[in-house]
Amino acid sequence: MKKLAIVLVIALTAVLFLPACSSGGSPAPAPSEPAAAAESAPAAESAPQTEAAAVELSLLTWDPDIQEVCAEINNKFIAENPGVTISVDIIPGDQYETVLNTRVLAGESPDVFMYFGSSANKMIADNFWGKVTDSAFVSRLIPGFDDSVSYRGDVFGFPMNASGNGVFYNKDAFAQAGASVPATYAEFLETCEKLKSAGIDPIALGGIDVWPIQHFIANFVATFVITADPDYEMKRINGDITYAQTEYPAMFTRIMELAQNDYIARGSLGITHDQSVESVANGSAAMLLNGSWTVGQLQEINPDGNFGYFPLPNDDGKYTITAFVDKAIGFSPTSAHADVARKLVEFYAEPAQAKMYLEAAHSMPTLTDVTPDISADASVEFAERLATSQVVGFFQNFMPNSTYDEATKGVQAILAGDTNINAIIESMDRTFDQDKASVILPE
Amino acid sequence: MGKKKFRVNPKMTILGAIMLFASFVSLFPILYAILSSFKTKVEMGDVLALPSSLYLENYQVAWERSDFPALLTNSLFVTVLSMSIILVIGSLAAYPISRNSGKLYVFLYLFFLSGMMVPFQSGMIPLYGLIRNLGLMNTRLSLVLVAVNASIPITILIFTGFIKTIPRELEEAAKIDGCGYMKTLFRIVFPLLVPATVSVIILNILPIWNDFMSPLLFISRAELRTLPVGIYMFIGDRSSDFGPIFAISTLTLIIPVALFLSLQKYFYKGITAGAVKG
Amino acid sequence: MNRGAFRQKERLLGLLLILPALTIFLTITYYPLIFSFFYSVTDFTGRSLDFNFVGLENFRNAMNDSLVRASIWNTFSFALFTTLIGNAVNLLLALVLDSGLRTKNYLRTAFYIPCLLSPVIVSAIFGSILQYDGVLNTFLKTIGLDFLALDYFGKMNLAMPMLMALNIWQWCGYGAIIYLAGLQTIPTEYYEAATIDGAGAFDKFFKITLPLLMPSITIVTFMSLTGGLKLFDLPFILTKGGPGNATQTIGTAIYKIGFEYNKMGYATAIAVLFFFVIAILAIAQLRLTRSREVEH
Repeated sequence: MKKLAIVLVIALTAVLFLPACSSGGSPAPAPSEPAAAAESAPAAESAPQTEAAAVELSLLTWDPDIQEVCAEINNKFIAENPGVTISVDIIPGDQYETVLNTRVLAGESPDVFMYFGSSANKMIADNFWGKVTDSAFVSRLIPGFDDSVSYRGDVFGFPMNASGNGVFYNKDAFAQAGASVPATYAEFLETCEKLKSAGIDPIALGGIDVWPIQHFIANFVATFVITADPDYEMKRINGDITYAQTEYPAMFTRIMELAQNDYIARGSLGITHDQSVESVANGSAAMLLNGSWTVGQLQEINPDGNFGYFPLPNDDGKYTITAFVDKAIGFSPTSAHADVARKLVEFYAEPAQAKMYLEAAHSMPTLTDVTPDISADASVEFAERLATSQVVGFFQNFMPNSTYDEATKGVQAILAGDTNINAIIESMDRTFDQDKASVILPE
Repeated sequence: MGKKKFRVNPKMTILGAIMLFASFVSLFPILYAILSSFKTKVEMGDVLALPSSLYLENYQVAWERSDFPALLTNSLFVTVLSMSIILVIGSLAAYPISRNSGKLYVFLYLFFLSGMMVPFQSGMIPLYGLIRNLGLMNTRLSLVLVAVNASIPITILIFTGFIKTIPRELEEAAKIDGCGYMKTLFRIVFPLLVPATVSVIILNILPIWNDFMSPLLFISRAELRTLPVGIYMFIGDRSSDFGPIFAISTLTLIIPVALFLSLQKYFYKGITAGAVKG
Repeated sequence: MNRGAFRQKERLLGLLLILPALTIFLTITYYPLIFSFFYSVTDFTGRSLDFNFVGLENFRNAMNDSLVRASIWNTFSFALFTTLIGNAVNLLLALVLDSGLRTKNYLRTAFYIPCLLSPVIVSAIFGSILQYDGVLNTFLKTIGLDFLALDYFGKMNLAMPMLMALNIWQWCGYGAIIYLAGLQTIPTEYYEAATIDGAGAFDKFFKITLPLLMPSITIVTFMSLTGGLKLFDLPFILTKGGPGNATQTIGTAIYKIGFEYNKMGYATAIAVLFFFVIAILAIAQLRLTRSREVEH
């Protein structure tokens, strides 16, 4: 009895460490799971693969709005490649990068996954994506859009669609308030005042999530900071200037003025992006300083509404438009089915699928031979302006995460009543100097 | 004591009314969530209105889109397994600690209790690395280990305190009758531990069930997610559609509330056990 | 078998029984803690194994970091307020529950139920209720109390108080129950003797109730304090640390710096400091309240 007890206790201790001795696979999932065997089986020792061998690919993204079109595209792929199943997983945007990092670093990278086009170079620099340099679609990319997925001469992902920032507005609300599309910043402020007098919230913002605030800021950075000094980013990296010496302080002051004049809808910091879009769609608010995907959302909520676009102008009527690859998609080189995964990526780049996706997402093409049928006024207006404007990448590109976060938090604070702009600039400069080693420069 | 039955005490009546109102305020958020879960998207617009009917589509959406059954299964698996393990190893460890008086045992006791002061964040990052290196990423076992570990301080506290109240005569009598150390433990002491076991379960079950951090860090595969993180992801997904969010909240809170309502007495005993004896 | 060997065997068995719990405890609580001491003096990013020893640089940077300073301030004020005010509310509630109301059982249940909710649910529900156009403000406007309809998420000085209020709302039932049990252990004879001696309600409370309630006060204060200092879930989910740094706590800051800024070494330095602060405060508090405990 005593001996049995001793054995029991030691066994208990040992049992808790057994998993460490195994090949590190996870315990079998609940019996109701479909055959997920392909994912956890070690690739090397599988039985000889026949044509109909089950291949399960995992696809990761953050955008619930594209689920339908992705399902369509995936099903088309499955029809042409029997034996393949694709499971799509969605992680909310705010946690996307963290969860993705966790999975990849733990050796559990999804087979195929999307990433924010404007910072796709992170995926490349850390070898999260495999090369697609000799894929057929590379030669079909519109010049300029291949930059964000390239590194040292190789291409790593497919830029799925392009978006841009600007002001997307409800034309009917403008008409109601007697407001017109502003050509200078002073006129923009007048427009806001007219809307406010008519009882319409001039600017709607979904501030409980961080990313809408970041796109709000991007509009201001492009129009004020970059228009004034297009090379400020490289100068900052080389240490020639500090943020305090750029247009950033003045820009933050302008945002503060908007907040203090109540031009930004009350309670913005507590509502979601979707709620802010709804308010513009139904006319209780007028403008969204966001990205071109908003058009699709607005049209869906209010198909009879009239929505337009204009870029945010500066004092002299000049502006710069931030345009960027919205989503890029790549495959994991460590995938057990890397070749099939790569095929899926290339499939998304084929003209038929690309057109399907772009029309569903109301987005701009990145390929020379694809022209989606987009009829919404706002999209047309946006495309027109884009063709004739100075275009830059997203302002996050040459900042360490910490600095980018300080700018975002700074604007949140300004919207919440804080007036200490110097503290924001100081934090941006301090974190930049500490963390600039993490900035990935294009090569 | 009996006089209160025959006299209406005005102070008591006012206090009663105030407390009734206070209890309503306390319960309001939950009632609001339950009521709102039955509203259609249109009805949601008017926040103060009651739903017109038992609109069940929100529940359907919540159940299916979040894969609620999988979330529930995973949470149950982790909770039940963790609870079983902690009861066994906690009581085993508490026995020698409470029956021996040397400095070593006092040190061990305090050492275990010190765990209550170590915040999860202090070791979170190396722990993440450890779990990864042990190959336990994306396993429910990692959650079990972390849950068991988190329960150790309070479990040892309760079991030790309780065992100390069991008269040693019982064990000495057993020894005279020829029982060995382990036999005494299993035959005499363990059966007496039932009240303490109840306390340990009550005190640990909710923190394990509601744990958000560990599954967030260690589980990224959707099919292995537990309720807290599953709901978090679900809420992040449909940001302006509050109907399903309230539905899933209601579904989730039914479980601990039902458990509590049926086992109230044990809950109260459990909470106070550690406190009053401690 | 002689006495000595018997004793030896028993002692060995005893230690073996402790082994499983000890192993897990050492591995999951203390091993990472020790490792964090190591990482805290490096510039480990968490993404690559290529890191360097940087001495005390992380600690120096932490002193000047506005995020860290804000999170320390927020965490301490949160812990202090919720412990003091929460304790008072809990005690008050317990006194009321003990006063002989007929609805006692119902009240006890009603106030305890919020404790059962997970922070995700609390955030989901209050994320809707406390929106500017949510049910609370709409109700206040309807009954004419417009000035009370505030933008909780959108004002720097309202966000943290909102979290404090939520915390007190949720946990008042829990502390109340512990205090209630404590109150019920005080013999009524003491009160009766005091009445005969001419003592008023205040005297009775401060000279009898409070001192004899000290063990309960120790526990509830300890739980509030350590819980408040460790606050993570609620600000992480509900306000995501915002607006600005208004609801960043030490816990959320460590997470953000480690996992979002990819500065794991720096984050562990903050975590190490955090551990020492909690340990010192907890021990100090236990000493203070323990010394005030009075035996019956």
